[in-house]
Amino acid sequence: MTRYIVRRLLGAIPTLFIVSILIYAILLAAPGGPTARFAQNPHITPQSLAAFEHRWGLDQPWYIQYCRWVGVCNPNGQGLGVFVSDHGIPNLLPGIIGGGDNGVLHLDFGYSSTTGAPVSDVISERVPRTAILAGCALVLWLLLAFITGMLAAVRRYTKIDTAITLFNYIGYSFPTFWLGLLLIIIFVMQLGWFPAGGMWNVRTVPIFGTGAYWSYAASQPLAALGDLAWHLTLPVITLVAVSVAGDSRFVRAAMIDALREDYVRTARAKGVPERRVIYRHALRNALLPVVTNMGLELPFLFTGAIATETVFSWPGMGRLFYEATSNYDYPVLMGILVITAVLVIGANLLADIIYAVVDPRISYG
Amino acid sequence: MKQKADLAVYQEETPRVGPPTDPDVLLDVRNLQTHFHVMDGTVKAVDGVDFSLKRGETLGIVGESGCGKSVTALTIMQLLDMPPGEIVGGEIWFEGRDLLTLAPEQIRKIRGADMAMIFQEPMTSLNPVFTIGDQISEAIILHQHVGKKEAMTRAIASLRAVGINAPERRVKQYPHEMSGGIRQRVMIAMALSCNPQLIIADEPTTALDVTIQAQILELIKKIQADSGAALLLITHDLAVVAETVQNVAVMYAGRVVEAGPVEDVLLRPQHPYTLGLLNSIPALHKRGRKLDVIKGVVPNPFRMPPGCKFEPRCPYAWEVCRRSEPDMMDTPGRKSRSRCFLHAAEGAARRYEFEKAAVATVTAGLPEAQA
Amino acid sequence: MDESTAAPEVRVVESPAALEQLLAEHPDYDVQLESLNQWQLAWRRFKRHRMAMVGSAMFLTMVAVGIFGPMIWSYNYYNVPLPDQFVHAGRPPMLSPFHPFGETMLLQRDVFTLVVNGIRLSLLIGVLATVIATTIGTFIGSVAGYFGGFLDTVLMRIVDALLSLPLLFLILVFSRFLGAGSWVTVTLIFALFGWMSIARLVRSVVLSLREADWVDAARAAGVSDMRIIFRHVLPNALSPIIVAASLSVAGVIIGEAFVSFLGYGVNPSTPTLGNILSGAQDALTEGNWWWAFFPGMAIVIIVMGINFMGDGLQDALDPRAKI
Repeated sequence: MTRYIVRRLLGAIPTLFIVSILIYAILLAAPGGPTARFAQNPHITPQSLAAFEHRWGLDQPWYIQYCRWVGVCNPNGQGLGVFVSDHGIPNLLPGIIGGGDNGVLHLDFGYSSTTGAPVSDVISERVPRTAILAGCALVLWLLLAFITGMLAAVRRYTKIDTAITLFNYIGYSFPTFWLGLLLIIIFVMQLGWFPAGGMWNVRTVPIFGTGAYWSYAASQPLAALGDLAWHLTLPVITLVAVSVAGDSRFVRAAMIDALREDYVRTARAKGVPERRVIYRHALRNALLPVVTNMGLELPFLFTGAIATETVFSWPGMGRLFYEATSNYDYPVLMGILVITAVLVIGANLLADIIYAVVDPRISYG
Repeated sequence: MKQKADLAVYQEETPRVGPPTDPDVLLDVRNLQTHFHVMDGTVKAVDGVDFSLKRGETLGIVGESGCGKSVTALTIMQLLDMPPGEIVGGEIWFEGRDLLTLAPEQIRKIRGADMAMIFQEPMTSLNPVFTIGDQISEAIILHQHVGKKEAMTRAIASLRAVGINAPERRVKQYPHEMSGGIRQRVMIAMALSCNPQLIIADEPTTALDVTIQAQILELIKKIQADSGAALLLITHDLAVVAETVQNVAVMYAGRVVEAGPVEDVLLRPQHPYTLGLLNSIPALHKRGRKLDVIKGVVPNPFRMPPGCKFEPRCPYAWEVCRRSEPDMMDTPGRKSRSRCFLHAAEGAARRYEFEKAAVATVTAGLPEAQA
Repeated sequence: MDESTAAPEVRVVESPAALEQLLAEHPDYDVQLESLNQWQLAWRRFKRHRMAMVGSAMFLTMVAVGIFGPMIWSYNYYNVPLPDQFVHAGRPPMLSPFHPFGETMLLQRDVFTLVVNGIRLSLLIGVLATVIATTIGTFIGSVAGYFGGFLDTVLMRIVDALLSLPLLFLILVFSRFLGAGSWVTVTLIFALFGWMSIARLVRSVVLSLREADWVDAARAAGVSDMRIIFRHVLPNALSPIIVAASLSVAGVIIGEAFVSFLGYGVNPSTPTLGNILSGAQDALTEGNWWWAFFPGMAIVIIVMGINFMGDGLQDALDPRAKI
């Protein structure tokens, strides 16, 4: 098992390598580079521009720039010494044991070109906020997808099945952001039950994630949690409604396929009670395609987050991505892209590993 | 309307028969009808099947694919998907109870415990995600109410009984680690594990290699003799029937067309369809001769002939066969019964020709006739 | 009636039940069975698929609206209201027969006109981008699957890499950098990032067919590789490609709407469904819900129609399905 996981991890390296080159190439080719904001400024002389470029290594050939960004090259090195860190060992090794401290490999994504703050700080401030939203959505999503999908499969061709199928089709056809708008029209504008956006009540609650917020949450845990839940409701519904629809259909199809298998008939022929046939013999097999599919669908939580977070002004990663795109903030954009790619590849890997655990036919050799 | 009057002569409405009077009869199937409702209409897959099986006896059901023999077996076990399947009518008496009147929970308690089934496809009939031991002991735990450990011991014992080496090791394995022959042995062990009264084997050797087929057949015969269970063997292979069972029922287009002791049916066939089946067996000593096949194809299930279902393919058919359908009839001097007008009064004149062909076929099939 | 000169009357029935009925009425009729080819059978199954027919009706209605709507409802939506007719929040629907979907806030444009024009452009972008993406994907997938080896490894690694970045991220970045462009640019961006899943699909089909005996036979007969791919192998992969492509149209329409909604898509003055929604977002606080509601409904109807149709196609083209 360990060997299998290690092998899969090593297998992901070429993909990650191509992803990093792609991201770098896309942003290198994009207009409005790091010096664009000086272009219109008459006080910037060509000399100071050259100094700026030298200071940030923009005068180096692209492959050196790429290597520095990834963290394989040490910006202080010369000649072949670029691959060696200040402490004399290969630069790509972790900083703790004497490797370099620059580049993506060392979680150094550079500095935001709009605020000047380190990208890692900018992103890590947003991650828990998106994690709360996506986490709540994920739990509800899986729960609902399984319940409705299995119900429809077991009671197939009945009214319940038709109702669930119809609901799924409708949900599947809704653009996430428009569903958000619709919910705002109904529950915010007409009924006034929920706030239109944001993650906390700006009048009464301190900024989420700051020390002040945690002390407030410690003193009034119920109020803090209630406020959070109040703001979470609509974004979570938006995020869940669309993704549940697709997966519920998938679970239904996988369950129906499994229920048609010969071994299910064998189980019935043994006199196994119907509940046990469904939940033990069929479900265990239906899980295999479902797990893979859900692994492939995890990126939707990120894409869906852009739509939900922009519509509901949720200050998370999706909104950060939107803001960074608007401001041509390359370092932040690249940081988000890299993190997302790692998460997606990781999710696929996890799905494969779970598949291998659930299905005895997969050999780990 | 004239047709209908004719029909009435030969086909009476069968009233409910009630439980079999003979206490030795384990399984009594009466006028069983199973239909499938599909997009284009209704397929009468089983359309009035009768047979009975005594305790410890063996019965074979033979017929071409699509004749309804597997559906009959699945109907007895009540393993059909409903819908599209529907059991339209009939009675299935098993140990004094009509299975068609029982609640699903009662049927479930009978399945696996009192009657067990061996399926055609050993490759797909075992659940790929559970070990062999888990799958065999599941039925034992359910029906015999014993603990996990005891069930596993019994599972190992039944694996040993079907001739699997090192059963202690095998119970921990998954189906994909075994060959088709071993898997079919596992299926047989599973069927045996709760000492059922009736074992239904649906084409148990069809999916296996030829060399394995004989072994599995021997095994089924052996366990049947050892356990004293009744065996209902479903197959398209007359050779398998000849080797394994005491009685045989030949099915065509959803009904039994000939039934009787195996030596009567195979050596003295009384129905043109049975004769056709016998003719189409290739045999070593018949080499060089043209292989006879039954002309035509199985009728379209949506457009069954109005009279005898075999009439369009039957070389002996005449006008009455087109008009009305024969009932099961006693045959003179034999124990078997046949659904053919040749045995009715109006067929007597034509019987001679048929008997001649039958004798020719059967003697040609016997090796000593060559000498 | 002279029977010898009259051509025999031909009646076609499609179901056994209908044949039964016809024969009961005319027992003297001759029956001829006609065998249908794969596509005729698929069309027959598709016609019988209730959801597929509903979906097709929805989709084709929207296509008709997109094509003919702007011609018939040629309302000039650039006109500026007179001061005495100005209503700050816009006018709600059905108040005036000339504005069935109401008027927008600010410039008081006719929402119906906007939606009709939006449907036209959104459909155009969706279909065009899908056609290009499917062509690219089919080509790359079949080449990778047929030739295998190093080429396959490289191409599929690139597909893996592109798919591991959420599509919308890439499209957003590109749309932003290429500037709020014409609809052609947006179409090309969607085509450029939409081919990967088709490529994967085609590759898997080609990979399984490559080993088939008839491919070996064609190769032995000296048929060139490209001809084998495009004349012999690909037609067998057509069914899954058609299904995937039809569903991809829906994906592009939703994606384009979202990108335009964020303001990075088609030039905001061009009415795509997403652009209309983008303008409508700020109007919500004024209670102007109809501006956002109707274009969104148009998207839902188009997408739902396509999804129904796609499912129907899947069932109709699946050879395992029974008639």
